Amino acid sequence: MQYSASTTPLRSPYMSSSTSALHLRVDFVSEVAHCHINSPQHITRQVDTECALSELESELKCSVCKDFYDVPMSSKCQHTFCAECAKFDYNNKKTGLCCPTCGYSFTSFTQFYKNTLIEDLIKEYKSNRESIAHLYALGKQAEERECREEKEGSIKATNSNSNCNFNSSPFGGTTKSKCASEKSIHKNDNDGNGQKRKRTDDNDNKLLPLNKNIRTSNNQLCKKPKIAYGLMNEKKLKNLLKEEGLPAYGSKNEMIARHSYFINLYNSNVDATIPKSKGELLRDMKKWERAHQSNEAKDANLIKKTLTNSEEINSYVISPNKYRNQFAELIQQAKINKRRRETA
Amino acid sequence: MSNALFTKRLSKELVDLKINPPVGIEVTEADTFKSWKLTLDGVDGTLYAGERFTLEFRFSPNYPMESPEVVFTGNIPIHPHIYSNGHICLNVLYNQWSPVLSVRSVCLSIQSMLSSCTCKEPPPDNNHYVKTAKASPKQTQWSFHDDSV
Ligand SMILES: [Zn+2]
Ligand SMILES: [Zn+2]
Repeated sequence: MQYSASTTPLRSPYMSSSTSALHLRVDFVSEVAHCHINSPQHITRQVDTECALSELESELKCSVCKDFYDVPMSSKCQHTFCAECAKFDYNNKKTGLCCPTCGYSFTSFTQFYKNTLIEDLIKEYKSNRESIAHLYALGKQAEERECREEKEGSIKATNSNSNCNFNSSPFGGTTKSKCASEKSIHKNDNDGNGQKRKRTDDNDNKLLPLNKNIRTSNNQLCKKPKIAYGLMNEKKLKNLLKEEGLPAYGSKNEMIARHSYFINLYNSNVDATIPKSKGELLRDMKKWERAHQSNEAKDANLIKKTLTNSEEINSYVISPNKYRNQFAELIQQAKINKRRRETA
Repeated sequence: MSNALFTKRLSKELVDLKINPPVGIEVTEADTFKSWKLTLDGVDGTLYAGERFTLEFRFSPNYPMESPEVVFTGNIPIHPHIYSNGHICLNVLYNQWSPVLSVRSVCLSIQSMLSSCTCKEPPPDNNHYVKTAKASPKQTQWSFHDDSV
């Protein structure tokens, strides 16, 4: 008890700040009072929205001042602080300059760079916050209605119609927003180990039960080795491409580009939390091929381009039945057009 | 400039603690930004269940760049890392402090430190320390060798 007497002089210099603390209390009380005016249902909805948005906002807030980033500066270790907050005072620290979040040590503050992406995001978010909250509330309302209807069990034709509309609510399915609120609760509970929590966050995410299941079921997925294409002739290259179910045409360079892009795509898919199927990868390849060709084919003549395109489509087709109907439709359309032209 | 950060941070923390208080932790006195008092309840199922302690936080205008001074007052828990003068041997309060930590996270660390205790006894050097220690625990040269409790 001796120390309380000896620390009294230490207290006096900051008397001025006491007024703002009192102010804050008043604000807080009025905030609570305001809540009581609304119906209880309204409050839960408001709290839900606040909760979901605070999860989003926490990503846009500085962990030092707990406010939206003011001139966000990012570091090599991928942590961001306000320019002002990045001026850590480590005089009393043996560790020297290091990131407050992860402990990464710097040699100087010049290793921070301004993160204009986050700055723009905050600007956008602030100006659209109200509409985001509104959309969220609408989505929530729709979900609630959906839940109620599911519980009632009796699905009238009209109801199922409206269900369809609600499914496309701005915030997606029920599970998604549930996850968000659960996660925010989880975060608050663990705040105790602020530092530790940040460090292990990534691991936590990897251990989500859903992803775990996918992981174990895809255990056979392993990375493909990089290939030294320089040592290969065209025939070998074509075989490589065919092995992967890729089109084997074009110049040697084109084939190399295609194969190495696929290997990259495949290997990064192995690391993905929810890996895509091979069919999806091939579809991605098709997209790439289109983008790639539209660039390359600028000088090539049009006939050659259309030829290779049709060849490409053929080699990518996974389920021909899927396109049979579309094809029939096109023929039908062409016939109608022809008749029209004849009558005119 | 640091004063702006100091008041902004503490007012945000206070609102957060009032609106969304952690279980067993309550702000009882926060009339100024120089010192706050919080009560800390012993967690059920631990050696401190049913006990209530008071923590005092004293902030310098360099907070959160500088750690707050944190001590127990009044009823002081008997714990191998807590001296009978209220000083707490906890690394995040001294050399492991980081500005991303907060009043909330410090309280939770102390709560978990109490909860994981298996034997209620004072630190072995308690008598000597209490006689020689300065008023502020931040002036003590702490050595953290035992992380098990
Ligand atoms: Zn900041
Ligand atoms: Zn970092």
